[in-house]
Amino acid sequence: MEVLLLEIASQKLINAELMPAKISDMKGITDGWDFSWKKHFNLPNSKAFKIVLKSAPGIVQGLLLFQMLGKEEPYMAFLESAPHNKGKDKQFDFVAGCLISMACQLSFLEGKGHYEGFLSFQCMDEKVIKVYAGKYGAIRVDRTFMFIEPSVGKQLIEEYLFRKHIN
Amino acid sequence: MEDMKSKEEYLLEDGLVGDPAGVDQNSEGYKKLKQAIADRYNSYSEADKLNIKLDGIRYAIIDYLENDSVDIIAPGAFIKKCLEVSMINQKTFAHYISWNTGNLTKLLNGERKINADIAMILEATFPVSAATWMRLEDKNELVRTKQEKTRNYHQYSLKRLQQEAVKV
Repeated sequence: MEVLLLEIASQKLINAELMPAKISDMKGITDGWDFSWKKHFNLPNSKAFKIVLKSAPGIVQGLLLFQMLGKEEPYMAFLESAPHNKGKDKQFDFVAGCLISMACQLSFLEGKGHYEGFLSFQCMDEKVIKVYAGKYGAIRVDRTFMFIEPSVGKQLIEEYLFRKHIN
Repeated sequence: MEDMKSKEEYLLEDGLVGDPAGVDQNSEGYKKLKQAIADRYNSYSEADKLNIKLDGIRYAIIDYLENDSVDIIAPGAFIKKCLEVSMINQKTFAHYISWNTGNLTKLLNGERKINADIAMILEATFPVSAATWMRLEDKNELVRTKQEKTRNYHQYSLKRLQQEAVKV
């Protein structure tokens, strides 16, 4: 799926591709990454996705691991932007937004019963929880659990995945 | 001060999601999460619940168009799903679009193609644009043509065309 990332330096939108990730993609995912992606890659009932620039398909900009808990519940097990897309010197914005929106779309496709369109996840950082509530409309439950409801997920999908492509 | 806060929030947008220890499905937090989702869903109107299902079908169509699958899904299969979740029977839908049921059955089974007229009706009825319904037919036609391999398309290129032009 084609998506757009915002290049911070030029403030221009850049064509990127959000696609399934393979275990071979995890080889270079070591230095500066917080999660052990190779270890988590084979979680049961999970699918991994990566974002790469069309002009640099070998460099991963961010990763998502989407999981189905039981047979009904969509769960965003892990999401991480590449080290060069974190902090004050990050190169591209919208990486997390695109990956969250992909997980929201999957929650519509794979969620069953009353879980259809609901995406749940965990955040371990209090500051990040506040940002996810404010920016992405997630609802906090208990200490670390959050969920995004269908109407909000739909807005994120429209904003990050169906944004008009350039060319 | 406001700018400082905005800057901090901006930097946290790419914050990590996930617990390296995994999700403990026996934890109180997880039980509360499940209950909160159930409560939220139960607070929705029937129209909201139907919209979730129809949006799911729309995303399934877009997902099908985006991926390179060679397993053809006829547009009729998606129309069937729209009718099912809306609890509309085929006879009622045939009457609504002024078609006989035989022609509708052919459309639903993939024996008849979507044309612009029915695509416009579907756009007005369900949250899927007429252009998207038409794209489904286009994608399936391309997949069929590739599978039939009646021509070797790799032999065509602008360079070869230019070479031909020089000869003529």
